[in-house]
Amino acid sequence: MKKTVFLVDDDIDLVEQNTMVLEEQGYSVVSAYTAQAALKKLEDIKPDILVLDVMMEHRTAGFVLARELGRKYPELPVIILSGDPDKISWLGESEDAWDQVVKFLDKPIKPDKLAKEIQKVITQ
Amino acid sequence: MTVNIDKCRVLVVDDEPEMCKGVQKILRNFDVFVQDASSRVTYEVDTATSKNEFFEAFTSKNYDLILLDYKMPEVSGLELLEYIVAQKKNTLVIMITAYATFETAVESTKLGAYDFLAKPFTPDEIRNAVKKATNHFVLTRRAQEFEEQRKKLRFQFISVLSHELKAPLNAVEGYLDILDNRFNNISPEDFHMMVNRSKIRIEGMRKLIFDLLDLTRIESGEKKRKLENVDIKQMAQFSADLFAEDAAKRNISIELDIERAGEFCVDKSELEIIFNNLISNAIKYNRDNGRVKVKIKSYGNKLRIIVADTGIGISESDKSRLFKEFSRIKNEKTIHILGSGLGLSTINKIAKLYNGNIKVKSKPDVGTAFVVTLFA
Repeated sequence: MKKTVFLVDDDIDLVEQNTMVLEEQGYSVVSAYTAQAALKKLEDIKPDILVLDVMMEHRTAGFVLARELGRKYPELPVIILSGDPDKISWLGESEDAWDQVVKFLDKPIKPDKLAKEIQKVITQ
Repeated sequence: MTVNIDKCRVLVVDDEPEMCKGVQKILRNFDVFVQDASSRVTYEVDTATSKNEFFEAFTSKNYDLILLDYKMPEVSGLELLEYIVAQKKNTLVIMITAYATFETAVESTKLGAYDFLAKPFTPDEIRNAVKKATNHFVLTRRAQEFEEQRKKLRFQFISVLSHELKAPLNAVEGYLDILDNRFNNISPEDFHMMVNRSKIRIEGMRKLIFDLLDLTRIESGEKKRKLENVDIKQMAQFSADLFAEDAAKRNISIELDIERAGEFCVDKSELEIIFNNLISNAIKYNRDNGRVKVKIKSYGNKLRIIVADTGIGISESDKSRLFKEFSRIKNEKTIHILGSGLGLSTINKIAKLYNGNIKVKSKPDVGTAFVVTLFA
């Protein structure tokens, strides 16, 4: 069965590019452009992995969403994408919410590289 | 007027305990009002009667002011002064001495003392010396706080700006990568989509750069303003024409109610920024087949511009951050709309140049009206 990747990013073009490449590699891809919409979608779907951008509706929208995911979907592996070199400072703010964050990747990341990282997490 | 409360931490260093206690007593109920910083300053006074007590106190606390005896038995006051200055803690030092000569005053000042007080002194003399030092330290503290705040704001601005500039680059680079790596497997539709999206993102980036220039030009006051009588009707019409094609693509009508708009004294380029931003927003955030209404009225020294749309509207919570720089309302309805997030903040700044303002009325899914008022 196809594995489902949930992409949450406010940049529609990055979502488009990652979707193209991931679909080509046999994944089923779902996406949301805001943290709020992502939470709503999660009521209906059960992805195998979630890829989350940090800076969306506001500077740390992804971070806030990750906390919420930690409470609601503790089994869902999350990859966080961030262009913020200062990520460690806010990573430390809420360590307990980060058990499910399996990877922290710097933005920009090429779709092929992201696909490889996703593959690694899913086969683990 | 808000009055700030500042505490001045004072250390009195003198081998005579009576002297220390005396100063402590004088400053205990003393306070100073620093007019320029609208700050009321009270004093917290510690004492040290030996070299050891001095080092213990000085290393455990940051003092704003030290009253330092020139002649101590174990160590000279000047040595301590040199040490204090070398620590660069921004501590002001008033030297106190019974051997007040011109030479000692010059020597102390050379080494970095702020002031000099001759023993014996009256309570008023010490209060005056402390008051003078207080004015200096409070104004320095304010300037430092202001500078820190300025640096922080600049950092925030630059980090958001770099994020906004990186986003389109990443998007275009991503498409180029896909085109490069999969050239033989791409359908003509996908090819066109990717080229088109790249062009749109580049255009968005260009708009951001132009908006940024407008904003900084207005903010810095670098651009010479040219206030002249301008035909408002003609300018509104020109701006509406500029966006007519964008509107027509989505079957949005632009209605101009500008009969009561006459001539008005403004800077043309500033008014152009207002019209262009408001009208293009009203189209971008509108629904298909929607309407944009531009109503302008000038009377006396007042010009009122209303641009209303039948678009997606703005929630109450989003309204408060609408006029901040780079503030874009991001939700599922706006995600496909490109914008720099600088337009409204620029209009807000322009309106202030005319002692005016910009206000917003909005209902989600019904529409939004921006009202700009300018005074000539």
